[in-house]
Amino acid sequence: MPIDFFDSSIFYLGPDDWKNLSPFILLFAGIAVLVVAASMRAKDLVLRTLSFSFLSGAAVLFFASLLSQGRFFLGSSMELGPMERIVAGGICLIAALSSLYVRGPDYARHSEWGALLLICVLGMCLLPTARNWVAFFVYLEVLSIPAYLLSALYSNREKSLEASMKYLMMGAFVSCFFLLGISLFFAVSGSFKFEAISVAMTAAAGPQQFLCFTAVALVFSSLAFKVSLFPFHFWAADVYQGAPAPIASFLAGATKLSVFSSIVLAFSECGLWDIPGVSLYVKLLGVLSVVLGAVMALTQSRLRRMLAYSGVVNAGFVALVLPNGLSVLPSVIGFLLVYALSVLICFAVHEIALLRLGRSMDDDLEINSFVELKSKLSPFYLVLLGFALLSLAGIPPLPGFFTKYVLLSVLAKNSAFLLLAVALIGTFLGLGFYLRSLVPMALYPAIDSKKTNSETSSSGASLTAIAATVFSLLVLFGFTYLQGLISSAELMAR
Amino acid sequence: MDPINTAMLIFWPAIFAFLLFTFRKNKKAAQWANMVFHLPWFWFLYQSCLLWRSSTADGMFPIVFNSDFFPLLKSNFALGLDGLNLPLIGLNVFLSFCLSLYALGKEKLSSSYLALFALLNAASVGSLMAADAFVFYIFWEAMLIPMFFLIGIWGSKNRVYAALKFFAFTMLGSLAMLAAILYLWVQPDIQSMGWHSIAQLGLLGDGLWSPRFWVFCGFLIAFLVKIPAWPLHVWLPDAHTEAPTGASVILAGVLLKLGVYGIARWCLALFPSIAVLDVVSFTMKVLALAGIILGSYGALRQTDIKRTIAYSSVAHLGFMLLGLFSFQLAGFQGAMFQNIAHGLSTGALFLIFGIIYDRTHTRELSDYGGLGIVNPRLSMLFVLSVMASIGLPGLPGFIGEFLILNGTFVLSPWFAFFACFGILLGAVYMLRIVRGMIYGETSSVLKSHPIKLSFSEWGSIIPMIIAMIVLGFWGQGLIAVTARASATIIYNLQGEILR
Repeated sequence: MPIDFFDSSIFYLGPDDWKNLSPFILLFAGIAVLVVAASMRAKDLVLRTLSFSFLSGAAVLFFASLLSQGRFFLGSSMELGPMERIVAGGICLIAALSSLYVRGPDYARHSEWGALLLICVLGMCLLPTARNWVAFFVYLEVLSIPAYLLSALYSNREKSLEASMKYLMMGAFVSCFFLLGISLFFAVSGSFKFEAISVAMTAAAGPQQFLCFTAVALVFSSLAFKVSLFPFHFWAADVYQGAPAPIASFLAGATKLSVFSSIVLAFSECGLWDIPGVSLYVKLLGVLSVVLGAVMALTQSRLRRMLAYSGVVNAGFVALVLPNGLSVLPSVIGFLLVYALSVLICFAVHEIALLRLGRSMDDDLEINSFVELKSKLSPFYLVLLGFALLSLAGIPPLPGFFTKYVLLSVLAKNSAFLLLAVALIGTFLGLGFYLRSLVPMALYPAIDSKKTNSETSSSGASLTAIAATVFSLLVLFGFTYLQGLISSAELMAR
Repeated sequence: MDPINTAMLIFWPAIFAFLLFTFRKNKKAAQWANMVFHLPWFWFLYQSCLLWRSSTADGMFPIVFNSDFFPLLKSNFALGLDGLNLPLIGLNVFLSFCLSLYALGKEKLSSSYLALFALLNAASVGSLMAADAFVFYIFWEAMLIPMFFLIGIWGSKNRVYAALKFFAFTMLGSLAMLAAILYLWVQPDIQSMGWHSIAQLGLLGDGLWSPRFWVFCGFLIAFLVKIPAWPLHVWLPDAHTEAPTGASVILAGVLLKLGVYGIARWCLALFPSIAVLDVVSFTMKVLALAGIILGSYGALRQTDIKRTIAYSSVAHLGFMLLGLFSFQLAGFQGAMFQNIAHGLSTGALFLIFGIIYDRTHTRELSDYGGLGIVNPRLSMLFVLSVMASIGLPGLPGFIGEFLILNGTFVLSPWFAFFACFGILLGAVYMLRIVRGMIYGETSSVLKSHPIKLSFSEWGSIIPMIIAMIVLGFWGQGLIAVTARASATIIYNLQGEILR
């Protein structure tokens, strides 16, 4: 049996194909340039500027090709449609905003961070385009390996190393799950291609169905690890807390965006939702993530750990709607974009707070210590943080409400009222931890503490926070437009 | 009479909230600007009144402003104006103006306080006018954020607890409403989330436990929390007690009224066939009666003056709930009238007590006494507000409660009978406050803290007192405004009863 994940069509590329590939080529070029720059020990500012310009350039190219280009195929290794472009553009945007507030001696020591970040972004952008499982696995590893390294960027700090170690060990473990899962797909269908698997899945009967279920469960579990669904979330709190803030905020949002949209695309193309038990398994993980994630988040006293568990809850919301097929993709993308941007705001403001308080950069502020900030931080940043937290909590008229509403309306549309109730309970519990983190900084009176070293510039982080706020508002305005664009494009294509 | 003026009733306070932020450095300028900003708001109100008067549209809840909002969610930015919401909008603007006078020269009330207040006003006027379920929900929830910060930042000692409790309870109710709205949205035959197309929705069934029943309940729970009806009232005493004076006044004067308005607009008028079900109306009347009796009992047991007034609100809003579910024109009109009357009288009570509290910083009844000797004029106004709250003839509370009891008596005489004890108890607990505060020896607290009111403080109380007296003697003016809208709703409800 030939292994069929390469097609001959791959070897001829017309001019339009180059246009389609241009953002990826830009990312590759960026990687090359950044590797050279890193080897020349380029200055912090240079690296930051380079990675920001390559990432934002890629984002612009992705969004621009949304308007001008049609569907693009590269065998079964890559299919670029409007949704894949939006996801990729969103990821580049998040990465670009994250790279804005990279600063400090740790990054100077490890000047390869720019190249690693771009490789990670490349993997994330490619992941939703995969139309066979081998390519999917390759993209997944391109995404994961730089992520392990990036988490350990503070290489002389214990927390960062611990985070990276945990992430790496568990990640390697679930990669085995993934490989076992896709080899079971191969056993059932004799192919890694999504189309062939889709045919085999519809034909499967009897004990073969159980085999299929096992395969899907293994694959989904390993992907659930990437998006930190319960019970595969154990690394999340450590990475959110220990990894450098720009990296943590990037991984938190962009990984979820990339992996969740890939799950929607891959599972729908393979017809995996029709296998008995699969949607139950996914919904079960969703329910557990929403409820237990919320309970765990309620017990946290530090901002970044709280955000980690809130990430579990938000992943759970998405998992609840996943089994409804391709039609949920726009709502998932919108929801995760706003989630990612809100988390970015939180991390950026947290970073500014660390600078103002003169704390070490890997510190995770206690929620109660935000009281000290009131006299040091301009209320503007507290307003931004409040905006982000309330948006995460899903309170109108903030963007997070609209995207969550659209997401949950999928449940209502499919008469899944029990799941809707779980989601609403999760939202209610969410109020508890988001509001609790707001209380000390907003409601307690300021205490006058002595001035500490606040000379260090935090312009990068402020820029990130402001830009993320602006973009999360833009998501709201672009949402209706995107939804229309996507649904019409999808209808034409399928 | 351009409809845009009506939309500006919402947008103007939102705009001036942002303008107020520019006065961060200068508190005094912000306070004066805040007062001046109210004048255009009055102009927009006046224009909206003209629009309402000239409108010849038949049917319920005529839409005066409509614009695309969120086509994906079948939602339009639709605003309606009729006799039900116009008086409440007027009350909101009026109370807010009085509070802007009160705020003049207050050291604590910075520009961010005033800006949050303006945002709160935008949201509350918005939810009064929204004629689209989704837009309504957004405004309804948007009230929470400014109120949370108003209580949480400018409140008294226990403010954080009170703010969180307020937020949690209201949000819990709102999530039920959100579920109901989501359910409506997925109905295949729904044209839009507009009020009218929900009213015309066919396929939901009519009986008990039918989908329509659950949707009704979803809306109802949100409003019962807001009213607040017994046993969901537990957030109110804390919120009222801890809130700063301005927030207390607007909470009593507008936010609680939104619960009553919401039931009238989004439950009774929208789903008359469910409202008239025996189980529903009986349960509501029992809750209303429980609110009246237990709220009064709660008020009797308090030693904290603001808490007493808060519990009295629970009792008074029980009356309004009873009036709504009397299904008689008199009862319904009474509830609408009492909405305004209670907003004025309780608002005045909170405001006067707030002014005293600014000086003494104690809410304990036992710390007071002899206010009549210290400041007889203020005492007189306080007693007048108390009398309006009790419902003495010549003051608006009397008209409202009389109409409610009158309406309730037609279909459920026993409920009316027991509710009468609420009026009696009302006199007892309110007069207890009057005796403790105004009569007797001058207390040491009042001796050490002279109660001298500034010009602007008098200016904030007196318009409210005048409005009370005018409304007390010329109630027909208000009743005529609400008449047509109320009659349509009651006509539909009675039609459902006969069916």
